[in-house]
Amino acid sequence: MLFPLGFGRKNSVRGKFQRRACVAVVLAVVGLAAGCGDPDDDDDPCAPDDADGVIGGATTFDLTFDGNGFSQMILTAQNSARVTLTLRNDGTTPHSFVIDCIPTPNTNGCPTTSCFPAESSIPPVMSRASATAIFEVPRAEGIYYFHSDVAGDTPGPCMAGAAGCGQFIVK
Amino acid sequence: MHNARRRSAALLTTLALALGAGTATSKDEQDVPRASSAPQDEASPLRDGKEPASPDPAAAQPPSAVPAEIVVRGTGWPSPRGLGDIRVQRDQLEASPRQQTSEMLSAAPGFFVDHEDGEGLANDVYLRGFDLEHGSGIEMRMGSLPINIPLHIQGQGYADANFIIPEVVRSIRVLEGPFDPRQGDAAIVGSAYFDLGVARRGYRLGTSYGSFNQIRVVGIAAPAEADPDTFAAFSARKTDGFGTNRAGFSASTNAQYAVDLGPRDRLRTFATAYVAQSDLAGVVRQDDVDAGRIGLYDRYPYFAEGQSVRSSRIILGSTFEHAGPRSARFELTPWFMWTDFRSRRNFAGALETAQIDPRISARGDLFETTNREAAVGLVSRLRSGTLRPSDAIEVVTEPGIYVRAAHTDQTKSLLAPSTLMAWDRRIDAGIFSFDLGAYFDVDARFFRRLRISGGPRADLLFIAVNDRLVNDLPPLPGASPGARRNVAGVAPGFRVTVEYPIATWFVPAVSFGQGFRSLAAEWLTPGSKPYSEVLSVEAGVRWLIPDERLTARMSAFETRVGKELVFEATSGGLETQSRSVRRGIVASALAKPVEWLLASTSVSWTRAEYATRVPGVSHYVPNIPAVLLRADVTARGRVARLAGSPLMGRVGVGYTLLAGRHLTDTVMGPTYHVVHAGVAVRREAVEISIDAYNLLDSRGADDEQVYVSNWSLLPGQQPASMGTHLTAAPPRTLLASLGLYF
Repeated sequence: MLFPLGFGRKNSVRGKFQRRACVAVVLAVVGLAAGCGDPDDDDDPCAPDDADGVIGGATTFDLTFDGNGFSQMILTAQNSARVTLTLRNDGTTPHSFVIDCIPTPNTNGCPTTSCFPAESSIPPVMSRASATAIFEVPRAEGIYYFHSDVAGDTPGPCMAGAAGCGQFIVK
Repeated sequence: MHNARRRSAALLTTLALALGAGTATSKDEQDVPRASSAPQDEASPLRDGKEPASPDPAAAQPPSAVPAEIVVRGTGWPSPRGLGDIRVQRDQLEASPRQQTSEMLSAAPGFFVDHEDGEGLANDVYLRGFDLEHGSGIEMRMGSLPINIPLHIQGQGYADANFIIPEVVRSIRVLEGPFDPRQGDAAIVGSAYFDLGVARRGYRLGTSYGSFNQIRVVGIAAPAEADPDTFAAFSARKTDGFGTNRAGFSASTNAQYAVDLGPRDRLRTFATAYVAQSDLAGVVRQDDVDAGRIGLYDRYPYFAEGQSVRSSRIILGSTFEHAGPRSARFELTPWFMWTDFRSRRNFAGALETAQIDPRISARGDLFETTNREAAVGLVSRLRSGTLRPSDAIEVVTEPGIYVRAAHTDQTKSLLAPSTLMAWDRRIDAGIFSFDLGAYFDVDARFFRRLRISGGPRADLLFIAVNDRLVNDLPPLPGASPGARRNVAGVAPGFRVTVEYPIATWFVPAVSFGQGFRSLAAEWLTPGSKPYSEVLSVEAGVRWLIPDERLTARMSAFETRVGKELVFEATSGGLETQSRSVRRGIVASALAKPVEWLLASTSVSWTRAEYATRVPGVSHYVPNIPAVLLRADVTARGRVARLAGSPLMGRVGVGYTLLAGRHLTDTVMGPTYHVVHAGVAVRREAVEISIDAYNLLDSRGADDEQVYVSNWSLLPGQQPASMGTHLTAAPPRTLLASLGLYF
C-alpha cells in the first residue's frame, strides 16, 4: 500500500477530520492562487507607463547655442524629475528653446500627446545673454525633440534626424 | 578506533537531534536537522569508487546497558520554516554540471542562477518573481558568516558566493521567503546557507581544460585523521572568454579548521581570500545583431571600450559552540570581512551630461563604480533544551543577536572609455553602517502534531553618510542640505510558520513573514527609513513517500516589497523605486526511486508587477520569467569492473526553461531552453569527467533590457533610439577534467 496511514478508513472521526483538513488546505491554496488575478483592473487606463520603474530625481543642463546649433544634442532625465536648464546664447542672433510634444496614440479617449510643461520653454535669448528654465519632466517616457523655434533656426516641429534638433530622452 | 568513535558520535548526534530536540521529527531528508559533523554525502561525484562497505561493527553494536552521556555537537537545524525550507544535499547539487558556486543554487526548487558574463560579478538569481541582480535580495551565509554587503553600490545586499570553492560545499539550506526570525538584512525573497566540509577525507588534485582556453586547477587537503570539518582548498581559473573582450581569471583559497575544546565545546575557524577580474564586452543591440552589423558575442567600438570588473574579498571568522543538557546549545561567531569591488560598464553608449559641469557631455557613459568595505560582526544565539510544560506541549526557544558594523567608501564616476579618465562624478561618499538585530524564536509542538514556529525580530539600523559631492551636484528634491547625513530606524518584523501533519506523508503549512532590506545610501535623507519592507505569505502542502523515494511540495505565495531595486541602464546600475507585488505558485518534486537514480524537478509560475509612484500605474517587472522550469536527472553507480577494481560512473542532465519574460509591458522576450550535461568515470584514485554547458548551443541572452541608447559602429555621439539590448549568455562550453585522489 503506497499510503499506509489510514487515509482510506471510512467513518472514523480521524478520517473525517483529515479529509476536512485536506479540503481546507486545498481551498487555502486555491484561494491564494485565485488572488493571482489581474490587478490591472484598478489601473487608470490613461496613466502613462514607466518602463524602468525609476521616477524623479534632479538634473541640471547647461546648454549653449552658437552659430552651429546647441552644444548638446542629447539630454536625459527621469520622468517627473526636476530639471534646471540654462541656455546661453553665444551666437549673434536670438535663439530659443522649445520641446515638442510626442504622440501617445490610443483609442480609449486618453490624451493623444504628451508635452513638457510650458515653463520648459525659453523665449528668444539675446546674443551673449542667458536664461534658465526650471520644470518637471512629463510622466510619459520617450524621445522628445527640442530646438530653437526662432525664424531661421527650426521654427516648425522637429522630425527625427532633422538638422538643429536635439533629443530629450525621458526614461 | 578514532573513526569508529567519530561514527558513533555522529550516530548519537543524529539520534539526539531527531529525538532529543523533540520538535524535529520529519522524515524528509532535506529538512531533518543534521549535525555538521555527521558523515555527509561524498564530495566526489563518484563517492569512493569502491563497493559499498559493510556496516561498521562498532556502529552496529547494541548500546551499553549503562546509560552513557550523549554529547551533541555540530549545528542542529531548526524545524522547517515554510515549504521552501529545503536542504539541498551534495548529490542533488551535482546532479548536473554547475561551474560556479552560486550556480549550485539552481538545484533548489524555484531557483535559477544565471552565468554572469565575467568573473568577479555576483550572479543574478531568479526566485519567486524576483530577478535578484547580483544576488541582492537573497540573504547568503557560509555557516553563520554573512556574505551579503547591505549597502553595496551595485545593489543593496550584493551577494557574491563564488569565492566558495564548489568542491567544499557539503550542502545548501535554502529558505524561500522571510519566514525565519534568524533571517536578517537582504532576505526579502529568501536565504541560502552554505554548509562547508569535505566528507571524503584525503587529498585531491584536479585540473580542467576546455572551450575558450579555459583552465582550472583545484586542490583540496582534508586529512583523514583531522576533524571532519577541517580542510584547506585552493582554486584558480583562467579563460579567454567566449567572445570579444571577455578574458578573466579568479583565484580563491578556503580553509576551515575545527577542533573539540572539550566534551561539550567546539571551535570552528574559517578563512578565505579571493580575487577575480575580467574584461567585459557589454551589451549589443538586437536590431544591430539582426541586421548583421554586429555579432552577439562582439563588442561595439569606441564607447564600449574599457569595460571590466574586479573583485576581491577576505573573510575571517570563528564559531564557538557549547552543547548543554537536553540539546541546549550556545553559539558565538565573531567575524571580519574586507571586500573591494570595481566595475566599469557602459550600457547606453553616450547619452550622459556631466552634473559637476553640465557643459560637458557625450564623452561616453562608461560608469565606474567602486565599493570598498571593512566590516566586523558578531552572531550569537542560545538555544534552549526541549521544555515540556505539559505532556501535550514541547517548546524550544532561541534568542539570538546579530551585530554588523562597517565602513564603506563608494564612488560612481563617468570615465572616457579610451583614456579611463573621469569626466564626471556622481557619488563619492564614506558610509558608516551599523545593524543590531535581535530575535526570539519559539518552536512549539502541540499534541505531537501541530507545530507553530517563529517569533519577532527587530533590527536597529544606523547609517551615517559623508557625502563628498554634496556641494557639486544638484540636490534631490526634498533632500536636506549638508555633507553629513545620519539616518536611523528600527525594522521590526514577525515571522511564523504553522504546520499540521495530517499524516506523516502529508503536511500542510502556512507561513507569514516580514523582512527588510537596507536602502541605497545615496537615497537616504534624514527622517527617512533606511530600509524597505517586505511582507510575504505562503500556503501549501508537502508530500513525503516513505523511504525518501519522493518528496513533493506545492505552495502559493504573495510577496509585497515596499521599495524596489531596478536596473537603470543610463545611470550605470541599480536604482531604487517604489513598491511591487509578486504572486505565484511553486511546485517541486525530488525522487529517489532507486539508490542509483535521482531526479528533481520544479516549476514556478509568477507574476511580478510594479506599483510606481505614478497613481494608478501598475506594470510588469521586466525580465522576470513567468514560467521557470528546472529538471535534473542523474544516475550513478558501478558500470563495470576493470582489472579487479570497480569502474564507477555518473551521468547527469539538467534542463532549464525560461518563458514569458516581459521586457516591457508590450515586448516579450524569447523562450530559452538550456541543457547542461555531464559524464564521469572513476577507477580507484583517478576520475575523468566531461561536462557540457549549454549543450544545445542556444544563442541567447543572459540579460535583455529595453531602453534608449545610441550605440553605433560610427565614432562620435549618434542620435538615440529605443532598442532591445542583449548581454550574451555563453555558447556551448565543453570542459574535460582529471581528478586524482590520494
